[in-house]
Amino acid sequence: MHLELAKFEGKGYVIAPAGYGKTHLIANAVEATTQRQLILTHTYAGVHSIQKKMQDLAVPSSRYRIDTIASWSLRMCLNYPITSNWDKEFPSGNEWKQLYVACTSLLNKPFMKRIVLSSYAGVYVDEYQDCSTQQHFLVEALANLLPCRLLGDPMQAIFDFADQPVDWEQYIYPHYHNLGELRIPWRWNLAGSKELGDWLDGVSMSLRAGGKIDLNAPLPKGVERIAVDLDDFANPKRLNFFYRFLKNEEAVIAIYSGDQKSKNKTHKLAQLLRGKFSSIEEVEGKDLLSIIKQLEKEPSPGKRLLCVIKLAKKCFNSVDKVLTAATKRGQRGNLTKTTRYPDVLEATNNYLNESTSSNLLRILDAINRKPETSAYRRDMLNRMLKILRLHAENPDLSLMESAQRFQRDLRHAGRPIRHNKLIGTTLLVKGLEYPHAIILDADAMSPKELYVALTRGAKSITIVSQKGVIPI
Amino acid sequence: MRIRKIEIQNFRGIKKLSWNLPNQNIFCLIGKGDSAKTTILEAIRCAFHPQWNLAFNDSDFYFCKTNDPIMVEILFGDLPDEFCSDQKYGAHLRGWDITNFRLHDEPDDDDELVLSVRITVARDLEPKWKIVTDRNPEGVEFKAVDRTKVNVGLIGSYSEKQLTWAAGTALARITDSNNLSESLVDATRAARDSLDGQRAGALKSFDAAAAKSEGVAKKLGVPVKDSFKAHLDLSSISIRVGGLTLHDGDIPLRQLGLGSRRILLCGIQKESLDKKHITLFDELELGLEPHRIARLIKHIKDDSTGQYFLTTHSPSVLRELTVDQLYVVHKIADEVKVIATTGEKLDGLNIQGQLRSSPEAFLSTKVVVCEGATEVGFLRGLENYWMKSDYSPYSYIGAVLLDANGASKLKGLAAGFKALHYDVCAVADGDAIKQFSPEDADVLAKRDIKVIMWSEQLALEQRAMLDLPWASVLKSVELARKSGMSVHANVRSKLQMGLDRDVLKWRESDDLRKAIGDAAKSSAWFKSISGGERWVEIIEPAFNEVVFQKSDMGIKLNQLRSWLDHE
Repeated sequence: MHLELAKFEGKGYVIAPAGYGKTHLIANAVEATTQRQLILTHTYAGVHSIQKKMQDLAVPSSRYRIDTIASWSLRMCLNYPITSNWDKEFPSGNEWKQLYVACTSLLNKPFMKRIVLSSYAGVYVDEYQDCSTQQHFLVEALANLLPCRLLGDPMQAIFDFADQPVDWEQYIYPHYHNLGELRIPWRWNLAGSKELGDWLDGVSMSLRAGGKIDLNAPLPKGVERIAVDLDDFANPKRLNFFYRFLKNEEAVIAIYSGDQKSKNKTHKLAQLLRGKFSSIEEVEGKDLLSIIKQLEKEPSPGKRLLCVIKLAKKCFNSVDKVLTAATKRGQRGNLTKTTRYPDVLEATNNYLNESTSSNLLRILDAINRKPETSAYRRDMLNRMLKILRLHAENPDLSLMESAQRFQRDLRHAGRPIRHNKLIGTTLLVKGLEYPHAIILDADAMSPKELYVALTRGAKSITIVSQKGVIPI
Repeated sequence: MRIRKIEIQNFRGIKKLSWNLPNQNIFCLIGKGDSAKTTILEAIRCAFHPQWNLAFNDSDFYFCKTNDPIMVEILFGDLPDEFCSDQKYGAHLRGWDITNFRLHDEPDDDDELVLSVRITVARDLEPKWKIVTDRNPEGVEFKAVDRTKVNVGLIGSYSEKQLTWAAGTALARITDSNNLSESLVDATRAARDSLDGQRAGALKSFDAAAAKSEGVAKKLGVPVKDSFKAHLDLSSISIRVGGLTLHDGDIPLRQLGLGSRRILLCGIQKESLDKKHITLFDELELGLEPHRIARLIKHIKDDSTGQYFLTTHSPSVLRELTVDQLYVVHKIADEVKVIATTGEKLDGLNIQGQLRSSPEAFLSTKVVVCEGATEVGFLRGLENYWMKSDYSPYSYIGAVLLDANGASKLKGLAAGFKALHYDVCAVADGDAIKQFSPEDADVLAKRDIKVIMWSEQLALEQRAMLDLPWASVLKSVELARKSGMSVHANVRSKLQMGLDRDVLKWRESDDLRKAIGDAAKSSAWFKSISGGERWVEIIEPAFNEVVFQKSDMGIKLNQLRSWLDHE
């Protein structure tokens, strides 16, 4: 199929289910052409994974440029700020939508056409199901200039409220040529779990056709069903199955569905598991930013300390056990013979004297090193530590500005977390790959969410479902 | 690629220059000796210099003032796709409206896409090449490899280097080899091998010394594996690219005449060029006879792949060019201006005709625009007379006479040459008011043009016959008679009375002077260049007489001379 893609001159799409060698296909197609191709995707993780594939297959770097749609558009607009009427270097929120509109009209300028035609001989857009409608119009403008190949899978089109992706029925199928569908579940074949791959292939077909999966039927090697109610707090054994995964070093992802209620559940669960599994944050890190905002607003050192304690409790278990009573009230405590952790007390007292980021760092560091505590929101904790360090090094920035700068770089650097037993939502893990996946509360998932969640585990998947026939 | 605009600051003799170029292939720069023509060519060469190591020194700065950095900024268009791509300079494109010479920092729909290269040299003498825009004034580096692609070649006075394969030369560019130095190593080995073959002859005495050393070595116990002999050490004799030069048989082509060398270079420069090129030709005429100049210019005119910048001091070159290819470089106080010889002010004045017939005028500094052949002849004669009196000839002071061919064109031509920044003097008759009125004279005078116009609305002949001593008047009539004019009939027709047939018997009177003047004018006694010249020869003895000196004509001839000498 890669030769066909390489030769293709119009507008076309390939249906590429998760784990079916999409990145490989792009790399092979690019290698088969002699001229430079523009490869667009959505996240830096996506950019890195295509980049890595290109290097693995020794595709000369002169043949391609890989970028996210966001950063490519931003660069083009900033290159010509008057024509594009765009000069924001760091757009946020709704501004991104405006950016795509600006870039789309920029691409209609004769000189931009010359630049595009001089720079590339074709376009590939990966993960097309994640494109917004504005992004689609932008790609459409490129497709009018260059051969354009979209790769994606409408079945993986899951989205957060208000971020409705492009409608394939309306915008793709009638206008783009069908270049085929990837058929081989490479991810599982390569991981040595062919049975799992074949089972998922069947699941995929069934879900696409609107069918259901019967977990009561015999399951292949690598698939396990756990029929417990995770919300049944009366049942202390309900979480026992998690501990089996701690025996080996391999990465595990536990996945909730993407609605707001489930997002909170990820952190609760991590807390219950005392950080053995750590929850991950959304890229935007809204929770953290709102705490920072509050911290900046607090008028007195005491209030600030209380805010810091609140933050600490969001990241660690058993924070109260390492604080003195005075500290908990936001007051200076006296060091006595019975003070359990003089270093924590000293750090909090220092913070009351001088609410600097370096003093805050010392508090978090001291708490972290106590045996009573355990970090369960490591992603958030690590972000906070990095922001504080950044702020300590750049005193001319405010804490909020430091946070925003960190946030910008995060898109490139990825989540600051090394712990490999994680809890997230479908929205946070789409496009990522782990050896083992746990589908939490599968009964609550839509077909698309279920499909995305099931396809994350390359060696095993564990499905928590009481009903047994999903989706409901 | 083509140059669209040139700006220079503090480079050699140029404090400041800004020149918008129309869409043309040939730009010939003329102007006074030190008007910085060559500096403009050098500036272009520096901006696109193909190597990273371009040496500057203090004397490259304007007045050696190294605190004011050298800056050359060149806008160039006709860009290859590669330069427009986003790996190269796609983010730095600007738009050029060539009709109105307007630069847009971001291209408009109808603009040509252009790039600005800026080379700056500060006190540290390190040149920096940048592609700049207003939106990114810091710019990005303009790499040597890309500068090479613009393909700028200078054919100047030190062009011997150019007939070698040294880096950056036209020969190197047309050579089909990725790595010249590597190819040369092979050449060096071949040289070494061939020497080995001639060992018995060429290396005999060296080998004898080697044999002696071998004996010493053995005696002292230094191990000798084979035997000692003299040989070339590759590391010390390796041929450098600059050492490889173009030969005709055994004769290096650098021994060719200067002109042939330069013509050949121009041809090679064009040859490199399936691609486009920009060729700079300093002093095009050097070493060439007029017919070879014509041939070279035809070659240049026929080449549509290149943009040529020429400088010249030769009328032979100008004769082969058209006015729209001609640019006058002029230094005014702190600024150097490049002025086109076409344009609104010069329309309808047949500048092209002047360029064919009087190319010298364009190479002079002072232009005396004469109303007609009589005036040109008369001023020629005056030159002869003045030279006898130890004044400098016109050529020495850089003055040239120009025939306007009639009073109607006099004003336009004088104003036109003034607009090109020449010093201009207009010599006009006063008798054709419709074509050249006293008001016209005022207009010219206000533009700082010296106007010589005979008083009382008289033509040159009429004025002369009134102002010359009577004896000179009669000599003039005699000259006309001898050259076949019917002087008696001519004069008689202007008089209300009888007239002796014998000229020498004519008695001086105001009426007769007037009639003679009228006749000389209307019957065109001296109306040719040679006629005017001979006339002056006859009458010049009178020029020193006090009475004549105080006459209108005498006063004005003195004014003319002092303008020639002092303006």
